[in-house]
Amino acid sequence: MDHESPAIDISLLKFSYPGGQAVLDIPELKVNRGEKVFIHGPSGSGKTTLLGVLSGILNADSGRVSVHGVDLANVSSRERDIFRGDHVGYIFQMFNLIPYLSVIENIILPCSISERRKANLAGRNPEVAAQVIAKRLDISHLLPKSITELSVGEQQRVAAARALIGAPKLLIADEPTSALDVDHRDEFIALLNSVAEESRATVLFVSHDQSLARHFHRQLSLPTLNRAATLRGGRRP
Amino acid sequence: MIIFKLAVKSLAMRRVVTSLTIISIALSTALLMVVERVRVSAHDSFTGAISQTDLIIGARGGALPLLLNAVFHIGTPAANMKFATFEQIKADPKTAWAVPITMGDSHRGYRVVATTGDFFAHFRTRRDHILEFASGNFSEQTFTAVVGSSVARRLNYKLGDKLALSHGIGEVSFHNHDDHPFRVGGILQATGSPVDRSIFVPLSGIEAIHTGWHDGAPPRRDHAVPSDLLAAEKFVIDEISAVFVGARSKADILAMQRYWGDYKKEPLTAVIPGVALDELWEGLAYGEEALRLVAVFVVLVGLTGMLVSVYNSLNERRREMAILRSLGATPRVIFGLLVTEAGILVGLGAALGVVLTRVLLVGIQPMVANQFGFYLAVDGFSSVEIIYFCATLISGLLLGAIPAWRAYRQSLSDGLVIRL
Repeated sequence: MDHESPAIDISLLKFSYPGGQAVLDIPELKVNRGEKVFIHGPSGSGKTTLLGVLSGILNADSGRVSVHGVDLANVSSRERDIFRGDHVGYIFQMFNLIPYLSVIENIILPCSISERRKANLAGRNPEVAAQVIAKRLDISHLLPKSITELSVGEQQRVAAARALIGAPKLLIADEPTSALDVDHRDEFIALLNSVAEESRATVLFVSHDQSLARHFHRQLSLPTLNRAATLRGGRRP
Repeated sequence: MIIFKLAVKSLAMRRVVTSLTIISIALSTALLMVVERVRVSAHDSFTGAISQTDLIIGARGGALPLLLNAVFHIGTPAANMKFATFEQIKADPKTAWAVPITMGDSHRGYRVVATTGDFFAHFRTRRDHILEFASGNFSEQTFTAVVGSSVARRLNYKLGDKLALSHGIGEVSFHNHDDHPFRVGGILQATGSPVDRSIFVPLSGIEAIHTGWHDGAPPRRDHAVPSDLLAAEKFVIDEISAVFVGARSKADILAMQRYWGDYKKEPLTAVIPGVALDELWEGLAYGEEALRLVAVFVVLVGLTGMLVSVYNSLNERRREMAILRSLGATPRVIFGLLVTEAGILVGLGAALGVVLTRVLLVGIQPMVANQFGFYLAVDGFSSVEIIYFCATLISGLLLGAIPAWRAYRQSLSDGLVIRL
């Protein structure tokens, strides 16, 4: 991992699902380290697929997908899985939490799966680190609760705590606020951004709601970036 | 480690299905193990019904009826043999000991064996157990009886109780020898053999109660002989049913069998009980195999229940798999998680099955001893049981690989897409 390369450096990326048309065709996309980028795109523009490629779940057919200097298009799926565990925090639209684990167990889960995330705690015990980050996200009072007792907004904050524990380099948020009302939405994004800033993570925030763009350094329009999206009307869900 | 923790927590959340699955595996493995235990115990007590008796000699007839009648008290006694022949057998230099028995009477469905005190000195059951008295002793006095442990318990007999023998061997008799009751002089300890269900009287006793009989018909009431008169009499015994023989040297047994089988003065049959019992058991083995096969299938059904419960959970767990993948879990971890869950279910189920087996065996032990007269061993683990336990675990893990493989494929195709 070199320290000079941009957070994300995509060139000539092509991706299609097996037997299907091209879903992604991105000539170039660069995101600097520590940058907070808002990616906007209507459904069908390839948002989820792009996030899959960036997190190493999906493998590009061709081109370069460099994340912090590692070209994900050129490593094995196992290495991509480990890379994701080590360097990517991921927040889903909803249902982020594992139902049979408690709130705190959900938050510390990345430290059990990834050695790197645990090492990044700088010797702190994962429970202690979880308490620190929970305090920062104002969810300390939720720690003893069970997942089923949480509201949607509370669940998303717990998901944010889990995505940020152990200081991953890249935070990917896939429409994390779509289930929240307007007040909570802005509050959530502001909090997420400030905590991400403290751990110097690059933020990639995807949403179809353009009014959220003001929270970010830069706004990218996926239909503009992705030539495949302009060619076809729809894509796989 | 994290996989194991996740598996435990996930099973704990679905605790109703989890416990039902564990119970069904436990019940099916317990059935398999109980069947195995009963099979082995039945075999042991069957072939161990008589031990250290080298030959059984009776009147010429089938070897099997002689064996069944003399050892298991099954079937009607064949023809009698002469008491004089018994004396010849006993006098033979190759003979270490010889004990005569006479059968034909019963008491409330239990066979009466008339014999001598030597019977208690030489007769051995399973694992060379000597017959031991819980109380009293065998007496050569005409109207005393020794009862087996089951007889004593079932009929609640204590020392000094009186019992009347019945003529013939049916549960219901047309003639009771109630004019000459016997006194209980001894009670045997349980042996887990047909001895428990027998009543032993001296040879003179059987002669005595049939005194005055003509052509198989009892004397008229007014011609009956009083007991005290009979008790004092010295009976001359003419006939007996069979002889148990011990050889001085094991090497002589075959020669002795041939000699007495070809005995010129009286047509006889001689059986080596150990060999004959093994042969007989082999003949019954197909039933045993069928039973075992059924038990194996029941275990497969139990394991299939596990398979179904893990498989059913997969759809509702796609979200969970996507979350784990997003946290860097490889598809192999997903596979491992589901196999671990199957392993925990089968492991706990089989372990509970072992416990259940012990409980069941202890529970049915008295019933089996009473109804079937054999002793169920509950101690230790046989190698077959350990093999069954391991086979259950391994087949459970193999079956568990089926849903795990599906989850593996599913997590590859779903990726981070959360499908509900």
